[in-house]
Amino acid sequence: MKDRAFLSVFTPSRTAPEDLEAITVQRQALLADAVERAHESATTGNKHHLLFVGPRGTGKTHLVTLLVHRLGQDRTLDKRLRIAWLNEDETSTSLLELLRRIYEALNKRYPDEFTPDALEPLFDLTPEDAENALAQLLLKTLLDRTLLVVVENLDALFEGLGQTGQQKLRAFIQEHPVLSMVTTAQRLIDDIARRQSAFFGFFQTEYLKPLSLEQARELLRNIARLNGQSDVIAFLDSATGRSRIRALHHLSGGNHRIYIVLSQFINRDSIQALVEPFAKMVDEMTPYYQERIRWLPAQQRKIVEFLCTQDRPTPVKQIARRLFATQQTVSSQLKDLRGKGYVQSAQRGRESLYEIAEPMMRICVEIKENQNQGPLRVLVDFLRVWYDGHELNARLSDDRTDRLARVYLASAIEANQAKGNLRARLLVDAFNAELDEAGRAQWGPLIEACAEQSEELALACGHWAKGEDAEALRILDEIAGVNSGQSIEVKTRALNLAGEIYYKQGELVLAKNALDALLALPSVSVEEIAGALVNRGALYWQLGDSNREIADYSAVIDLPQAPVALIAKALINRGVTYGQRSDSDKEIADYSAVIDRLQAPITLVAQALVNRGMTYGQRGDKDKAIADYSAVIDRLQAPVEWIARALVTRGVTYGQRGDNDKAIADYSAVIELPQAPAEWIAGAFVNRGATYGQCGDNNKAIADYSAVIELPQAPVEWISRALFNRGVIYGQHGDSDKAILDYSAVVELPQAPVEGIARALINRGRIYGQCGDSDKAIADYSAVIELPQAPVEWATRALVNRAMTYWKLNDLEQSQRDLEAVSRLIGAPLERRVDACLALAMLHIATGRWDVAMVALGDGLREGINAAPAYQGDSTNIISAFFDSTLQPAIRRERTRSLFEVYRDADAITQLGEALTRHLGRLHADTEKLPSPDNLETWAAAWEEAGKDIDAFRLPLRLFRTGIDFLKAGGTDPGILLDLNQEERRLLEQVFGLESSPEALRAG
Amino acid sequence: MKANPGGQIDLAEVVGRDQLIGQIWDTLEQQSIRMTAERRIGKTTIIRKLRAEPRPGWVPIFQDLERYHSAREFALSVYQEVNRFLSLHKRFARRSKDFLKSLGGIEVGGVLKLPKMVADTPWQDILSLVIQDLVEELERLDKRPLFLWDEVPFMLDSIRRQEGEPVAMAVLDNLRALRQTHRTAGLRMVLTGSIGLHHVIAGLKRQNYANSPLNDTYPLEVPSLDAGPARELATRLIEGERVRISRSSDSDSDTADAVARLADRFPFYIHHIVKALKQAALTSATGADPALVEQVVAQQLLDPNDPWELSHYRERIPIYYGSDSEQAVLGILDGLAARAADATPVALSINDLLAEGRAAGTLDDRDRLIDLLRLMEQDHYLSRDAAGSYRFRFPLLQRWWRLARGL
Repeated sequence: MKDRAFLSVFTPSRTAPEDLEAITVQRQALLADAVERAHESATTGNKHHLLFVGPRGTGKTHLVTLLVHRLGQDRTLDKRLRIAWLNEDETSTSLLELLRRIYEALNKRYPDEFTPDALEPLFDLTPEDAENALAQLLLKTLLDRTLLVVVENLDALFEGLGQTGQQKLRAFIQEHPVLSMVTTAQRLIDDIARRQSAFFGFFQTEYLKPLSLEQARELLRNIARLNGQSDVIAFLDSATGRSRIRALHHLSGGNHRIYIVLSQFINRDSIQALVEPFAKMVDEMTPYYQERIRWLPAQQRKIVEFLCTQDRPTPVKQIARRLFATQQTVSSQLKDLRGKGYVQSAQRGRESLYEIAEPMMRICVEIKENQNQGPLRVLVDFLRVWYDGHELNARLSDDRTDRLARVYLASAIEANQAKGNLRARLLVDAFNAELDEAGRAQWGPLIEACAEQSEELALACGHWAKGEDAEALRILDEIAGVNSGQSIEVKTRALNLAGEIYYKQGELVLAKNALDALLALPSVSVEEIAGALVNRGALYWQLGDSNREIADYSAVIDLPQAPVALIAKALINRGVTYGQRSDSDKEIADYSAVIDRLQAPITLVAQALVNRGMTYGQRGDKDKAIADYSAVIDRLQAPVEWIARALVTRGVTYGQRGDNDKAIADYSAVIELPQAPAEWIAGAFVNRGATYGQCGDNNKAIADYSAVIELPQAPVEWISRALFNRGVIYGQHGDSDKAILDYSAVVELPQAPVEGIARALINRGRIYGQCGDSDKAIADYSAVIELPQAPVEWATRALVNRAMTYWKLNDLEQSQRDLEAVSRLIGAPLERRVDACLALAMLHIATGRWDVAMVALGDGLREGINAAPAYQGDSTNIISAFFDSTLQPAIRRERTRSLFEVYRDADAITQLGEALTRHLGRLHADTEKLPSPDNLETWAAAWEEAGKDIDAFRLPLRLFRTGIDFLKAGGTDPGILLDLNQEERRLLEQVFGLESSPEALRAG
Repeated sequence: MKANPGGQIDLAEVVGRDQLIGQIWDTLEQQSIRMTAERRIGKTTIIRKLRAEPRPGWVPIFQDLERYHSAREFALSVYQEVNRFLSLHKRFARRSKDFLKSLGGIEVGGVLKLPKMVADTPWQDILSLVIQDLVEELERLDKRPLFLWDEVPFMLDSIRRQEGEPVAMAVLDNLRALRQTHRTAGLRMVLTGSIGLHHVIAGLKRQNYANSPLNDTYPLEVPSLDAGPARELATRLIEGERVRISRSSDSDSDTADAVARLADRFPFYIHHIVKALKQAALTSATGADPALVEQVVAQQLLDPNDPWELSHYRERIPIYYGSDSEQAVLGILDGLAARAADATPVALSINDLLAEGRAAGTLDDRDRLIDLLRLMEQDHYLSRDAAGSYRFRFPLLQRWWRLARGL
């Protein structure tokens, strides 16, 4: 370690400038700017006059010392600049005295040029003559060089000079523009600030700001670096060091000088090194602050004195109460005091809190009032912040500790016992001050709880609260490190917090790693292990690793003495995962374990019951499902949220059983349930609306949907559903405008679920299509297709719908492209894929591409038949397209055969038969334009020939033949249908839309 | 060139004043000048330039008079300056020196130790003789004397307070008499100060002073810079301060333009804005551009420390116009400022202003209103347009007024 640098607390000008350079923080840019301006003053006709304003101890002399040092080092200025740095302890009451001080300062710095002898004859002159003569002497000796006058405490100088002296000085500067001034002041006095004053607007004023927390830490690091104390630097960089500096910052208010004092204490770890310079500093500053307070009007003085006794920001109301004044009066005085720089304010909600702007003022007033000369409270507080309780005790019992230190240590221990952990409180206060009201409400309790456990944890939480995740994680990582010296409890908490931060960032693997590390710690409590396992299990679930997930939950369930609540959570979570694996027996067993065997918290029992009920329901055991829901509703004193949930799910189950009255009763019960969460009320309304709709009571359905739409705090997904359902009803009743309005509302609903938007767009597109506005229809379908994260089912529907719309517009190319896209769409539902293939086949038939059509058709049918359950769509359109495609008997026969083979090979004869029958109905629909009997006959003959050898086709063929005969006869003589038996006949009557009555038959 | 609000400017770097200075020299051929200007518009710089770069044949003597608090001090200071000047040309102020000796001055080695001044020291004679000496000596050199006297109102006010109104009146009368006496010999004066001379005269008139001691002088108003020079000044300062400029196209000239415009082309405010802009540009994402200039100006106008010291415009109202007219003046300014939606000043006719004053109960006398408006115009609050309506003279002041008065 190198020798310690000497850092003067009170007179930075006595500190080696190189050392000052080394420790400078915050003001590098300001300093460089001031040097540039002084340089320009020295080398051009521009003369800058600078004024640095800041309370005592804010580093003004430090700044000026460096400025003079840098200018002195600049050899290019040797012949251009002369510097007179006035002794700040002397005063001047006239221009003559000031000029003399300037000359003497020049003499000290440049003894050969500004000799004392030259001054001698002036003492024989009258003051007026001497002033003139001295001015001339200065100007003559300066030659054409610039004179830089450095004045500290400009306020004191101006006070001494008075108005006359100031006017003379200004006139001197104006008449002889060779002078540039660099000055400092503790505040902006009227002599500068008032427009009537001679020096109004004369100075370029810079307000020196207090050190920020980071700058304060940087200053302490710089000092430690200057002293070669790498251990101190490492400590300051550690989480512990950071949290202590953060707490101390609250006491110091960013005052430079306090930090210089503090650095000596930190560097030497000596209470003596803190107390003595601090006491001296306070002694020096007390008169200044006392005088500042004395200047104030009586009411303001009382407010300041009161605030000096408070060690945290105080609400206006409290100040007013304690001073027997009205809030209005105090508010207006505080506003004035804030303008004068005495107090500063912070907002907490609607409340304004005030505190003394300069901590030194508070300290000095405290000293004044503390007549018994006991230990300085602020230093006691410093020790309470800096040392832990055991460190205080160890030092007190150390024989080498001297008397003064003992007094302070004893006071600190006593204060800790009486008032608790100051560091924790300051950390909490400091973060609270940095957070807004919502932030305080959200984070305050966590930071407070952490602060009680460990300052480093509180620091990490504070950074997290401020959105500084990286810093929070860095600190937590440090805490959890092997050599951090932290307790297992603190490390456990740190890893839990890290896991939570990573989880919220979506970094699931990192979150899991944090929990891995936690579970690898030795001697972790059972409760923490169980909690970590449950959380890790949940992470595995999200990561898709259900084996490990189940293993973690099982470990909790088997962990001896694990808390019941955590076992219950593990059982429920494991049950859900079993359910997802379709292992409903195990699932039900896990829920049942929670319900029957554990004394688990009611909420978890309710959750298990509802989950089990749903599983029973899915298994078709609706009675058991209803019993479970009823248990939550009727027997358990479950929280209202779970009752609401159970009611809604029971209502759904009743509905599935067709018991709409009970379903409606359950939904209504939720709607009327006091304090039921809006989410479940909305769900109940939507479900009740749907039930009313099924019962045909559309007015009530619309009323329920409307209620959701207007329900305050209803979740957006329920609003979206309500709007959609209402739109459907409007659409069904032909009120296209209202339907479009509702679908549009869904589309524009902020944060509406994507699926809801897709459904609404498709329905709106369909309505537009029906209204003949194909462009808008296509636009809506396209919107769904391009919607990010739209469910594939809806994207497929949109493609099919768009293809059909293009077809209608005769844009067959686009239509084909869309239909082909469906088959390429990964995850498209089977039904849609089959439909698309059939549509594609129909398209090809219509455009004469028979072979391609057959391939598409075969693909579609085969895909459908191989699925479980099988789906082969509706081939009626294919038959229609084929019927229309040719009248040539030979071609028709040929193609009928190949078409028949495709259906036969795909095991879809039934579908073919149904399609042929339905096609008859379509032919019959327009009796005016019935095909010719020949056409019908070749059509029937072709099918009879193709299917003659297949038994399964006999019945469809017989129906088909009778139907063709019916049509050939004009489609009006039901008597023809009497070739069929009653059941077969009924089928055709249905297809042709005929009345099935004896009269009708007789009419034939 | 660095921004230097309040400091002295290198005369080689003074921008945009050549035409005005030419006009001053032309005027001085005929008569003396009383120069009025809003504070910080740059009049001292103009005076310094007159002093440093006189037209051939002129001998300027510059004095900042705010340091003198009595007529005697003033007269002696003039003697000292004249004497210093003449001694440079190996001449001396013979008559005045003899007179001072007769009052007890002692000459040691050619230097006159001035007599002790007493209450009845005849300062008028000293002043009169020393100017006579100067004029005569310069006539021999074929030169004309020009006194550049800055902060005259400050001195007159000090004299008024220390020695009473009659002495202040006498100083003005004496100066006028000297101008008359030595007019043909070419004596000229440029009188100026940051408080309008009209206020001093008005104050004295209230004490039954009936003369018009300045009616032989030409009233010259120093305007703010023209648009071109204002932009040039802003450009030079932006370069000198190495302000980080936004990379968007033309932002250099746009930024300088914005500085000049928002400063109302006041050199003092241009310096201030550029200095603040430098800091703001360092921390802004893009660097300086017109939007940042606007932001800086807004911050300066709202800054509780009032770095441009604009609150003076409010505070001096009772001092300038008396407490009895304070509400009327505030009413006029509030009425004009409140009507302006942006920086563009709105003009109101005398009739409108009178109606408003009547409605507000602050003023119902047309003549008094006209008097006040004339004074407010002289004090640079207002200006008149071609239709005779009044508006804020400086848009910047109007903007600040709106903010400060919560209009």
